[in-house]
Amino acid sequence: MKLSTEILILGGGATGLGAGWDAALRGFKTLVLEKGDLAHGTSGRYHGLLHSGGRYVIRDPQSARECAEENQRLRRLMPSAIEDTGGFFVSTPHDPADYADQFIEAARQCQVPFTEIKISEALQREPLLNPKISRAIHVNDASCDSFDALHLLANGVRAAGGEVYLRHRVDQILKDGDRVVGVAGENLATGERFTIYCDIILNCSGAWAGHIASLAGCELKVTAGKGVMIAMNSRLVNTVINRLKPPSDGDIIVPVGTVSVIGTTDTAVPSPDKYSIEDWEIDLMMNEGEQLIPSFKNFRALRAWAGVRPLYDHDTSKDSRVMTRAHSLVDHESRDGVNGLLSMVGGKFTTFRLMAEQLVDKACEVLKTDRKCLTASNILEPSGTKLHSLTKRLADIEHQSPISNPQSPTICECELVTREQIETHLKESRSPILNDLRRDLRLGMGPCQSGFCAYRAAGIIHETLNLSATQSNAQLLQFLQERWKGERPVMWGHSLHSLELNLNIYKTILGVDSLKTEQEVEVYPTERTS
Amino acid sequence: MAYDLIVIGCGLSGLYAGALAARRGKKVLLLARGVGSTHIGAGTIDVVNGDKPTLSLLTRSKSHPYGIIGSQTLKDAVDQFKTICAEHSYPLHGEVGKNFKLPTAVGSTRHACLIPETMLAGNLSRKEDLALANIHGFRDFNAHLAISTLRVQSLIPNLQVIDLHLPSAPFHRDSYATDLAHLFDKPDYRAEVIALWKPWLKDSPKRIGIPAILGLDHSLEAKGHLESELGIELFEIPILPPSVPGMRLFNLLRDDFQNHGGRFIMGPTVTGEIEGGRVVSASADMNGHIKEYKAEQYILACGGFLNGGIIGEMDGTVRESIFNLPIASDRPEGFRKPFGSRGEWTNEVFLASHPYAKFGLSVDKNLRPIDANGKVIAENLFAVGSVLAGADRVNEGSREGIELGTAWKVISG
Repeated sequence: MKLSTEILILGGGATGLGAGWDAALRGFKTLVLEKGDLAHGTSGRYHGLLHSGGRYVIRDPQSARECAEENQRLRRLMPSAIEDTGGFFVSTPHDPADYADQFIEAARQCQVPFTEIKISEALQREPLLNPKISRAIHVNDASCDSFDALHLLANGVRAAGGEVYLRHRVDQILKDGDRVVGVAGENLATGERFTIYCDIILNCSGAWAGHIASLAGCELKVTAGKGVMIAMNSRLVNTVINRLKPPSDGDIIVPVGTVSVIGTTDTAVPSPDKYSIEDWEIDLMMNEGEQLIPSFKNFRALRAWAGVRPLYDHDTSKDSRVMTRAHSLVDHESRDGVNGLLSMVGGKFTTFRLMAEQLVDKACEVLKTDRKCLTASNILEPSGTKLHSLTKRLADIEHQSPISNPQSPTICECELVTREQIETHLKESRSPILNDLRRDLRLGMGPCQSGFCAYRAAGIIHETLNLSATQSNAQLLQFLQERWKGERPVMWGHSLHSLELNLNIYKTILGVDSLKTEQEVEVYPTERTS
Repeated sequence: MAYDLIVIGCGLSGLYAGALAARRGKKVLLLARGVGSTHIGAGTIDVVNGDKPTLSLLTRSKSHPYGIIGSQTLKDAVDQFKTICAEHSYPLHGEVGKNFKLPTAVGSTRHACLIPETMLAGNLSRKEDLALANIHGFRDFNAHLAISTLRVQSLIPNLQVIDLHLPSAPFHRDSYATDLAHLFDKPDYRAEVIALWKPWLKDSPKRIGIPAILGLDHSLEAKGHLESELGIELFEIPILPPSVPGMRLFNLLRDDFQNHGGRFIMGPTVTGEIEGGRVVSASADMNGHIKEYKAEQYILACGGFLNGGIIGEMDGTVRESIFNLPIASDRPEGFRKPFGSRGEWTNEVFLASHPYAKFGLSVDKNLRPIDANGKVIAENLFAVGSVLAGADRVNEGSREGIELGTAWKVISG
């Protein structure tokens, strides 16, 4: 496959899709390449917080200001992906006593909106909160479903005339002298090679940005900072809860749909693809959670995961950095003498739109054209089945007549995913990967962690996509293993019951361990069209 | 009122021990918080995955429950269980040392030592044509996937899927196996099924597999009725919980226990008290109302991790939930630091063998729990079933064999 485009964006996370949306709206011929599925990388592995800016008022005022502005903007642009939970910063007995006053002063200076509220009001709104808190400050934090947000962005790219190709891995950057002219790589779905020519490459590959830059012969030091998060099996709070202390491990709880997520840690890891979650990291966060919510440890931890933050090592001798400490735009022409390659590194989910704007502004400069950014006012509309809330799904099921529809039984009972939703989605995506169904429909994300739905869904992909038995069973085994990866770090108490139940189902009753399949096969019946 | 025996737990091992004791004229009380693994199992008696040598490997192991009770006891236990089932007109087929090879709901094969008559025709050693029924709208069984997988194994030359409907069910929700089983117990419902299915089965293979929904109380009657009217041989395939064939075994043993005078209390959380080397009482806490029961002897049949009999805590401790007895593992450190860190309890591969599976109670040759020094903890306390250390039941396919064997050992001595 050979293609050409004007702006080629590498990385389908929030920054890359944001840049794709921005560039396409400015009228550029735009293509975004992602080596995995949407939300495969760091954007799909964070705690779901849309920052109010409060977290940064003391240490990083510019980030705080940017977050506060982007927070308001994103609430307008993608309302369907954001839940306005609000947030509290609270002082527990373990937090420095003078931090609250420092916080208030700094927030005022950064123009981050806040209101100090009475402890009694905070406790009334969040009854599980530690009654020993001494200060409570309300901010505009919100909960943002990044799977939904990225789907909105990908649709936004396409609606503006751009393209998003998933499972396209770039392994070569093509140069003509000092000029970057395109990329070559492999479509991981079909095994087909591709070559794409372009006027400029925007490297938005986050923790993988160093690798991409190295393909063009540039050295870009991006360290992967691992952050561990735990999803608790219930919505313990309806408001984002932060600690009034300098940022540290396990200082935030975010309500996300039916669960709450506690985060996070920060440990440098050698590679963004290889890291493990250690017992001590889990213990640390469970203990910190106990400070915010007494008896936190008595609730069931559902699963744990880690995301890798791209931490950029500034090399001031070479670097022409333009932006804030939080994210950095690297022009490889002035820095390394390589034309036509820009890298955006660092940053945070909340400011992805701003990062994209700055990046595409720079691309316009390089391409010597003057086109205004339009993303600040374009609203991203939800499409079809992808956005959901559990309550809406419940209402849909309850209001259908008859209630039990033999055409479309509920396949995932935890997240209320029906057969019809799965079939519709499969016909569109053509992806046989159960894990993609999970990201798109939330299949298998609830308390049973796929114990009941994995078998049912494997049968449906087998029928709907006409897969062979070997392919279907490989998908089933892969999905079970993928779910296990996240459950294993929190294997105690109720989770051990759940593991035994799932082993009993899949080994004792279904005998899946005796299935002969080629592990690791990711086979597509037809090419996945974007 | 004092009992001869108090049994704690109503899984297969607790019920079997209770029924055996009651049959011998003992005054037995059975206390249980909830049902055991019968309701989530396959409804077969699994003794071991694999052949005779695999079994004798386990019966020769000193740490495995089979090794402690010996192969003859295992055989006697299984035979006696067959006798009881036959008395209740729910005969089981098979014998220790042999296995049936049966199809699963994904189309792989599983082994079982004893199987009910409702599964007999599924025997994959028979080569006759076979069809599986895909029941429209029933999400817990996918015949298309199962047949495709069976074809890959080419055990049987002619395999087919038949798409069948059920008469519309009166449920205002998706149906579970138990919902349908209650319907199949009713002759009128079966007559409707027969009328609906008959035209579709005219040219089909004569051996037809359906999900395990063939009635709870009258399964053999249901099987016979459908077979004679439709001119086919019918067999059940175990599916996702709740397990209808497992519940039949539970109901059968519970009835047998109660028919022989046993008293069954379900619901309370039970704790036991040990004083001076003897269990002195068992306390049943029913929503805060606590009642104390006393007996000469006690059998602990509380199950393992699956049932809440053994609990693994976040801080890395592992405990038994009724008497707080010391838990052992087969790690070389033994009792001192038996569990390693939490991360060592499990394997990184989901379907592999997980070390925690062998955690449990260490017992003497009479199945009395012992401490780190090998000393019996309470002379009148016996442990049976999945709470015992040394077996990986899921991997060995030994869950029911251990349950029956150890229960029989305690009662028959």
